[in-house]
Amino acid sequence: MSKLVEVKNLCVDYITFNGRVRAVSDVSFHINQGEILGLAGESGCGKSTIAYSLMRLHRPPALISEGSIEFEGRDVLAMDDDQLREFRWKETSMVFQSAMNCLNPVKTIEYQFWDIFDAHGLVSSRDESIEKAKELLRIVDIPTERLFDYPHQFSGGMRQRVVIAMALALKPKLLIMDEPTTALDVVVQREILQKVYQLKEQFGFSILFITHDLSLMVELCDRIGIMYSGKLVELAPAKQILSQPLHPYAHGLGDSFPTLHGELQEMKGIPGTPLDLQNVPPGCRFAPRCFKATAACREQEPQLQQANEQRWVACVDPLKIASQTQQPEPLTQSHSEPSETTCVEAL
Amino acid sequence: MNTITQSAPSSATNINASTASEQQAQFDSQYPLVLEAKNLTIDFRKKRSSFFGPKEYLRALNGLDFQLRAGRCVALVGESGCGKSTSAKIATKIHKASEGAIYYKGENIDTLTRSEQLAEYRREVQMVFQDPFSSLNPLHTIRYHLQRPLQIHHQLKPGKAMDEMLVELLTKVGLTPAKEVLEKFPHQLSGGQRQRVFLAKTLAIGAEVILADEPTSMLDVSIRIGVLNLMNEMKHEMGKAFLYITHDIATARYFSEDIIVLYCGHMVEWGSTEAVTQNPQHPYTQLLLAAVPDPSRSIHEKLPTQRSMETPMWSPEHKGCPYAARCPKAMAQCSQGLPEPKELEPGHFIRCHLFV
Repeated sequence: MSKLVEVKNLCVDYITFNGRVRAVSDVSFHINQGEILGLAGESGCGKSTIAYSLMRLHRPPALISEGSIEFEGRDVLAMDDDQLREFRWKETSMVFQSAMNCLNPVKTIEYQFWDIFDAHGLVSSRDESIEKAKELLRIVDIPTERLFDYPHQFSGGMRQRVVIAMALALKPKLLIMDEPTTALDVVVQREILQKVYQLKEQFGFSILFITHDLSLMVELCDRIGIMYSGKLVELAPAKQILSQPLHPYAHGLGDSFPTLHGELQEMKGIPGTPLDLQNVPPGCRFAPRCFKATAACREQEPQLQQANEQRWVACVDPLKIASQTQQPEPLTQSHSEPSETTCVEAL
Repeated sequence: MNTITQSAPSSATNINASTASEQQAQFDSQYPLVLEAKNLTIDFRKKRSSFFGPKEYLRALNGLDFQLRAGRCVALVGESGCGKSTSAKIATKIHKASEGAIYYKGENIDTLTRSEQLAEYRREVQMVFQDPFSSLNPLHTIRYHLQRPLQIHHQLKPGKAMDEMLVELLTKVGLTPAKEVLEKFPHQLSGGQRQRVFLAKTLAIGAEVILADEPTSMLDVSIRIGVLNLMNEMKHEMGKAFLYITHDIATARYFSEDIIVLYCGHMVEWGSTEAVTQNPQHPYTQLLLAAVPDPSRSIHEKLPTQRSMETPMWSPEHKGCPYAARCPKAMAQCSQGLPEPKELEPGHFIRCHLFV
């Protein structure tokens, strides 16, 4: 599988009156073609900031201070305004959390489709635009006669499906979904995500899926990255991240979601509160809440390192995988300094 | 009148009439009944279509019954707009029921008219809101928020004794160091801490019944379970009665003993939480539970089929089962009359024509 997007050492700062606050710190990952990558984390951990940065939609006071974003080998950060205009929506499009806020309340859906096609010069006449829009509505199972309705005439779930249809209007290669179903009921949520998955299979785009609901993410995604206060702390195949977590934070998150089936057991959650990014302590950011933090954790900040073939973790002393006994090969290369070898010994 | 007969810890296998009533008596003494809702129905006036048009009503709740017992929790689950919060608002006397009533320790709350009776009711029945960011006054310290109820409801004077009380309260809800937290303002605390302050406030007032309206849905995922565990402690150790309103059925299973599934203001299935969540029988409950995200399943699993997506707006003139329009198993009688409740097994009730 080839890489569609590659993010390397991305740092995003917010300029505040009290100086710079690093909302995303040294994050690296890639998205393969046709893959669904999930980013999970608490509010304020920087997952949405990453999504905005990928499309360069971030605005001051946010700014990308370090790192690189490559989309099919092209440097997104070096694009000028015209290139960005081409890049957005045609290559990458985004679905936001609140569909109500992305649709213009005083224009019909038809007009808003036409607006997209017209801006990108895809259609020569309004009739052609209407035909294309109807086709898109059919894809997301909305009756085509609703095309001339206003956003308020749709229910929440339908509105979100209209927004998804719009995001797919120019057949993008990457679809970024920032908490697309948080405001919806569970039944509607599942229907929409099943539709999205089906469309992904049909058109072969990749998805960056952002949410705080880990259970949902495990069901939908291929790989999951877990973020904690601006850092990517673990990246693993979806099915392994809850069953065999390496990072104590991922373990704690797994212990925070009661399940609907199976044995009912007491859950512990994670003690303490999320970090205030305005004053980040030295060492590991999770150390104050970690159940196995040692003095070493408070001194040296762990970097994301490859733990085995598919898994990356940023922890001085990661948890052990129960089923795995043999020592993995020493890490080949990661973006961090090779001098740090502490990470591997626990495996 | 249908009520939730709680599935009492029944170790005896053959239950004859006398032991059943004995068990009920034992259950009653272990978990005394505090607040009871009987046949709660509420109609809201809709905007008239024209000035001379007829008055139109929307039926937000239709015949809701529940019993809150000390040391136990009833969860109300359902999609948004199904009347979950409205029922808590009736219990706090924000809305008045059109039919039916709430009984607090056997007394109809509509008959509480003297100010001291009302004050007592409000002291003992407290609500916890969804949004801890707007339910605390940003201009006042935590000390102020906790002192006020003690001064107003218990006529205590600020001083050393009260300070000790406040520290004890905050320690109980897990906010330490308590002395420092007392002087903080709400904006200096995280969402989870604020929700804990709110729970400390209900303890300061001395509430017996806590109506928790989505208390964890605005909190960060890693602290939700902590707040739920605190409420669990309040339930088991301090014997508080909880009404837990949520759309997250997995947490309802974690926290509550009994559950009521609401659809469109109607109780469709209710009973002990384990029975309802592990063995759902009503087509709506089955759909709802199939849609809950679960890491052990995959997104490709098909939902039970539905005939339509729209939830009806119920009015007093409507007849039949509210789910009939969506239900894949709907029959002719489903749109004619509301099915009578039926007990499937001890402590598991359903309202569906399929089971009559």
